[in-house]
Amino acid sequence: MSSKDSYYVPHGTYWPIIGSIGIATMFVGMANMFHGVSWGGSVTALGLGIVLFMMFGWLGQVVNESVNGLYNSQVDRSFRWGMSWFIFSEVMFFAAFFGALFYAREFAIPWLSGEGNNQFTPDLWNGFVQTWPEIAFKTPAAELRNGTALSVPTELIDTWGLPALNTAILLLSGVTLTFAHHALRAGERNKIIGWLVATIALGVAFLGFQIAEYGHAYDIGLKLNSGIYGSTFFMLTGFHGFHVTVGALMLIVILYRVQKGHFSKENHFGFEGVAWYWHFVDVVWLGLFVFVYWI
Amino acid sequence: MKYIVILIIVLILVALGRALIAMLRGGADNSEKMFKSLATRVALSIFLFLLVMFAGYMGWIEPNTNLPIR
Amino acid sequence: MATDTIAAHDDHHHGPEKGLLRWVKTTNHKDIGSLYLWFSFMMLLVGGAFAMVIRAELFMPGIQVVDPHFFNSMTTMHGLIMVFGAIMPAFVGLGNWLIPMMVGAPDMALPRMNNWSFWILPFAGAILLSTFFMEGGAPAFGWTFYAPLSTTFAPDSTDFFIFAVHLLGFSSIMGAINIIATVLNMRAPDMKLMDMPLFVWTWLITSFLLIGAMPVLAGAVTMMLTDRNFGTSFFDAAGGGDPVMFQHIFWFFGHPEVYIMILPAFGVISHIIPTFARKPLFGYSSMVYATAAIAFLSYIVWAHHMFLTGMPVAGQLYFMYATMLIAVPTGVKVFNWVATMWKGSMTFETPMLWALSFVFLFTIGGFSGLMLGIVPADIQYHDTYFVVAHFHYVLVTGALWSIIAAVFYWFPKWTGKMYNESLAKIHFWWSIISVNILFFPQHFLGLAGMPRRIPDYNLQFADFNMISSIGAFMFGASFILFTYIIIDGIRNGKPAKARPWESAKGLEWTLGSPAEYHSFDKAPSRKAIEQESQHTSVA
Repeated sequence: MSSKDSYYVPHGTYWPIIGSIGIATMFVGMANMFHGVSWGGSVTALGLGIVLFMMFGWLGQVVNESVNGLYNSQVDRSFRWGMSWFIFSEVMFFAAFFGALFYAREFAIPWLSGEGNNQFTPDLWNGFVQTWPEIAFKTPAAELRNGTALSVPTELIDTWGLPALNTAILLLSGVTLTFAHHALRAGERNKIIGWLVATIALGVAFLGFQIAEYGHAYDIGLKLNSGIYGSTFFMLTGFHGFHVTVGALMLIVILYRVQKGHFSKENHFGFEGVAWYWHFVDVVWLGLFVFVYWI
Repeated sequence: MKYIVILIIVLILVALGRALIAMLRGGADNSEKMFKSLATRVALSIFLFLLVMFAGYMGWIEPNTNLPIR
Repeated sequence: MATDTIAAHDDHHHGPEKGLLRWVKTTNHKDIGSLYLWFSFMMLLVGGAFAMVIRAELFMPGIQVVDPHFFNSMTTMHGLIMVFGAIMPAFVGLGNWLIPMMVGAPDMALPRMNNWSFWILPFAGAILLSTFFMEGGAPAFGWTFYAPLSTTFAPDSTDFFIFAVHLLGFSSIMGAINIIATVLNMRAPDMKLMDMPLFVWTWLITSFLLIGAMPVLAGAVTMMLTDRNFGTSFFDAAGGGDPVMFQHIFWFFGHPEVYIMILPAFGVISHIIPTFARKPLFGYSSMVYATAAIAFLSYIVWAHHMFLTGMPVAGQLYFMYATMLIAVPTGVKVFNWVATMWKGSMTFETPMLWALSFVFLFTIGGFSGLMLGIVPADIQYHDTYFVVAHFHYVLVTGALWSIIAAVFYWFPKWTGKMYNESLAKIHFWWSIISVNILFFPQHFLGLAGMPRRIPDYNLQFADFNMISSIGAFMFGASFILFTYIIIDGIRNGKPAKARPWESAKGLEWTLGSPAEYHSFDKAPSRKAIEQESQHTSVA
C-alpha cells in the first residue's frame, strides 16, 4: 500500500466513458421520447440504467479506496472543494428558476396589464387581468396559445393543507439529521442509525405527499400549461423534488456506510457532504414555500 | 412582515454558507463550527415556519390568492 | 476492485499505457490536456468550414451557394461550435496542461472527473452536429437562441441541441471545479496566492465565472425544453411569461461567458510578453485585481446586449455606465503590458508576434465594444455587421490569437521539439494580414447599416463584402499551414531545451522538455518558487 504523504493519483478508469455513453444515450432517448418516437422511452431507461451503474461503480471504487487508506488529508480537501463548488452550481441553477419567478411576478405580468411606459402591451393582450396566481386568466390570447388553450385552474391550492404539512415534515427531517450529526460526533452508532432512518423516512413521506399534491393540482386544473404560474410552480417544486430524491438516495448510501463503520468521530466527510446537501435542499424548500405560496 | 421574512431567509442562507465554508476547511474545529451553523439554520428555519404560519393565521400576510399583485 | 487500484497505484512512476485505450482511460492531466487541445482544434476546423460557407454565400449579393435556411443553420452552428467546441475546450486544455505544472502539483486534484469532463465533449459535439441530418435541419436561430425563435418556431432538432448544451454545461462545470480544487488545494505548500503565475490566476477567476454562469444557461435551456414540449409559458407572453425574460437569463450567462473566453487569454499574454521583453511583468498585483474586477463587473452588465428590447431609461443608463466601467480594469491590463515592454530588450519570436498583435487587435475590439455600450450609438449599431466585427476582433484576434500564441510558446515544453520558426513567421504574417482583410471592412458594413445573419444584401454593401470574403478564404487557408507546422514540429522538430526561451519564468520550465509524465512528485522549494515568480527581476 502506498504511503499517505503522496497525493493519490488513480490510473486508468473506465467509469467516465461509461458515464458519457450513459448520459448521451439517456438524452438522445429523451429527445426522441418527446417527439413521440416509440423507442424513446426504453432508450432513456437504458441510458439511465447505465448512468446509475456508473454512479454506483465509480463511487463504490472511491469508497473502497478511502476505506483502504489511499487518501490523505489533501485528497480529502479536494473532495471538499469539489462538493462545495458543485453545490454552488446547483444554487445558481435554482437561482435561474427563482429569477424567472420574480421576473414574471414583478415585471412580465404587470407589463402585460399595461404598467410602465410601454404602450404596446395593453394593445397586445387587451383585457389582461393582473393576478397572481393567474387563476382568472381568461384573456383571448390564453385560449389561442399555439392553437391550444391554457389549462385554467378552477380553484386555488390551499396553502394551509399539504404544503404546510410538507414544510413541517421537511423541517423535522432537518432536525433529525442534526441529531444524527450530533450522534456521529459523539460516536454513538446506534443513535446515528436511528436518526438517519427517521430522516430518510421523513424524506420519503415528503415525496409521497408531494406526489399527492401534484395529483390534486392536476385535478383542479393547475398544470404545466397553466401559464407562468403553473410553469414556475411545477418546475421549482419538480426540480426540488428531484433533489430530495437524490438526497434521500445519498442518505441511504450514508446509512449503509455508517453500518459498515466507514466513519470516525473525526473523519466523516462523506456524512458532512451529504448532510449539507440535505440542509441545502431543505432551505430551497423553505424559500419555495415562502415565495411560491406566501409572499 | 414581508421584509422580516426575507431577512430571516437571508440569515438562514448565511448560516448555511458558514457551514459550507467550515466543511470546506475541514479539521476538528471546523467540524464543530459546521455542526453549530447547521443547528442554527435548523432553529432559524423552524422559527421562520412558525412565524409565517402565525402571521398567516393573524392575517398579517396573505397566502398567494387570486388577488391583483401589489 | 480495490486490489486493482492499489496495484495500479504502484506504477505511479511509470509512463503512459500503450495503445489507444490509454486515451480513453487516462487520468493524466497532460493526456487530457492534449485531448482537449486536439478536440478543440478539430472543432475549430469544423466551425471554420461553416464560416467559409457563410463567406462564400456573402461573396456577392443574391442567393448563390446555399439556401437561406441552411445559411441560418451555418451562422448558428458556426457560433455554437466556435464558442463551446473550440475556444472554451482549448482554454480548458491549456489549463489542464499548464496549471499543475505552474503550481508545482503532481496532477489535477480530481483526475477521474477530469477525464469525464473531457469525454462528455465528443458526445455533446456529435449530438450537436447530428442535428444537420434531422428533419427540419439544424437549429437556425442564431447562437443566442432567442425565444420564441428557438421555442415556437424552431425545428424538432432543437431538443437535441438543448441536450447538447446540457452536456457541454456539465463538462464546463466539472472542468471548473477541478481547476479551482487544483489551484487552491494542490498548490506547492510554499507558493502563496500572490506568487501564482497570472495564467493560474486568470483561470481560477474564470472557473468562478463558469460555475456561476453555466448553471444559469442550463436553467435557460431547461425552460426552453419545457416550453417546447410540456406547454410551460416561461417565454410566452400568452401565458404571462416574457420572451425578453429569455434574453435576461441568457445574457446573465452570456456576458460572463465572454469573459470566460478572454480572461485566460489575458493570462497567456501576461506570460509571453515578459519573456520576450526580458523584463518582469509590470504591475503583477494590479493585473490580479484587474482580473477580479472584470469578473465581478461581468455579472452586472448583461442587459447592454438588450438595449433595443425596451427597458426603463434608468436601466439603460445603469447598464451603460457599468459597461463603461469595464474599460478601466481592462485598460490597466493593456497599459501594464505596454509598460512591461517599455525599455525591454525585445525580440520577436513567433509567440511574441502573436502576443503583440493580440494587444493591438484586441484593443481595437475593446474600443468597438465601448462604442456598442453607448446606448444612443447602440441603437444604430445593434445587430449590424459592426457587432460581428466587434466580437470577432475580441474572439478571433483576442481569444484565438492567445491560444495560438500559447501553442507556439509552450510547444517545446509539450513535445520536446521546436517548431519551424521561419514557417511559423510566414504563418503569422499571413494570418494577421488576412484576418484584418476579413474583419476590418465589416466595421464599415455595419456602420453603413448591413444587418447580421442575412444571406443576401443590398448592392451598396457588395464591395466590402467581397473584400471580407477574400480575407476569409485567405485566413481559412492559413490553418492548412498551421496544421503542417504543428505536425512537422512534432515529427521532425529539433530537440528543445528545458527552457527554450532564455528568460522565460515559471515552474513549468524547471521540468524537462517534453515535461515528465507526472509533473511534480515532490513540491518545488520556496527558493525555486521565488526564482520562477513573475515578480522577481530577471538576473
